[in-house]
Amino acid sequence: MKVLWFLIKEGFRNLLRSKFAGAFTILIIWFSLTFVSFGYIISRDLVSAVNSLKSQFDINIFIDKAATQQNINDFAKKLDSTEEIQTYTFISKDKAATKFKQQFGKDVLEVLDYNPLPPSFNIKLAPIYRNLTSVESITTDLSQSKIVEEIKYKKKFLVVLAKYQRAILYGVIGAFVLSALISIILISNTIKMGIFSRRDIISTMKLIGATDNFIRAPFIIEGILQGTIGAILSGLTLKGTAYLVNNYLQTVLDYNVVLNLNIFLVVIASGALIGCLGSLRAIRKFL
Amino acid sequence: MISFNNVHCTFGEDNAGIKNVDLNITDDDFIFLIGPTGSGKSTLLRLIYMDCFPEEGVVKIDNYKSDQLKKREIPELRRKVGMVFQDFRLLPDRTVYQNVALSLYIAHQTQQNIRSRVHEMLNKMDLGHRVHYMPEELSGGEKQRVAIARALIKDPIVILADEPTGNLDPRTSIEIIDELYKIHQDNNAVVVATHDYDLVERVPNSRIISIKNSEIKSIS
Repeated sequence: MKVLWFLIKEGFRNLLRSKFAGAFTILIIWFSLTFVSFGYIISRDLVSAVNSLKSQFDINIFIDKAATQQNINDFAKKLDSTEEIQTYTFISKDKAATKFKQQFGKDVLEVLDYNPLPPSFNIKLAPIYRNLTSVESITTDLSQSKIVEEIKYKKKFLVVLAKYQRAILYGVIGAFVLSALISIILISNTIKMGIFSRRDIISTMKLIGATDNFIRAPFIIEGILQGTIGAILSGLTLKGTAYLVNNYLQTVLDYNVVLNLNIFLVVIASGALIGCLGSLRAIRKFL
Repeated sequence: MISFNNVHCTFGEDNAGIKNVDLNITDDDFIFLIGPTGSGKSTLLRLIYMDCFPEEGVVKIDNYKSDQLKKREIPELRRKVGMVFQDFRLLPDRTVYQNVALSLYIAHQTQQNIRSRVHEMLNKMDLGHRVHYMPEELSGGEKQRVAIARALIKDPIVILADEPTGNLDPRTSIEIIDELYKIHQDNNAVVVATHDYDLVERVPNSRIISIKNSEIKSIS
């Protein structure tokens, strides 16, 4: 415990000694984590918006006009047993005519003297199945039924949403990986400079019996401190920006930044991890 | 305690180092390694603290043998050997207290033990009034006494001093050799490498090992 406290103090001492190089590294980590965190928050809200749009997605299954009530009941039972389907509504010929009148303002019976609209089922899928692959699989299965005349859904809508969702995901992952790599390399270089400038001290410590781990520990602690300080600054920036947006710019931007404790914890843990990886990279090469 | 059996250790194209060395160092020895610069004195000391290893032969220190020593055992061995260098090798950004205490932190001693032993040692070395000084604020003689205190505080089995007076004026050199002799009188083995023949006379009953061209020429 005493040795650990001694090594932690040494880590702080190393950090103070690194001066501008250390401050520059903290600055880069601060910017990187802030950039990635905002990227995450914006993409989280975009994904939420995309999911909200997806919830409007439905499938219309048109039934053969010759189908009997028994056929329709059997088909409804099949829909009940399909786990991918969240809810469904049966729209009879008469109900379809009423909807037609509501939408177009004309009674189809007056225009054509008969009702040509087929009965149909309107289906909503469970959230995780609102993607093109699942939709194609479900519709293929349902189309096997003899009473199904036609299945209609907005394929393009799904394709476009999936494309945007993928782009957001890859963008955030790419930005995080890039920022993390830049930060790791910078931390690593700062610590390498520190090791180089203290090579005589390190050599003296080895001569008086210090183990490799005793010499390495302060450098690892220095990296973790750099990462954590950068992360704390990033957390404060997030908090400040959220306050600014939510209190002064909300009406202009029509956007509300929602932060929770988990985001701060992840940012700080990421900073510490990046710092640790950076210093491990440096000492692996030099000590 | 320390033995060299037919040890051969050379470096570079000019084969500097030592050749065919057979030597025993016991607990009650005060040894001067005498010889010109480049004769192999420092190599002999480096072999004791395992900073280099013999190409032939075996160096034995306490229970550690150079041909069987594992890398992780080197720090353990060095904690049992006190080293003093010509250039003092003090940590420039630590106080006198911190420089001496470092040996004990490395040896995982308790804070209380460290505090009492460091103060006791610094008083013994007449450095009690310099506890919070930085190395740059000390004279050459004081720096070397701090280095001796750092070496001695570990209760080593031997003190190795490589040209300890090389950077000091004659009067301070004598003080440092007298200090090492006092340490020897407290039952510590001391090995001093020097090319200053005048210092040898300061220590009665010392063994003098003359090294020339990498070989021991005489032991008296």
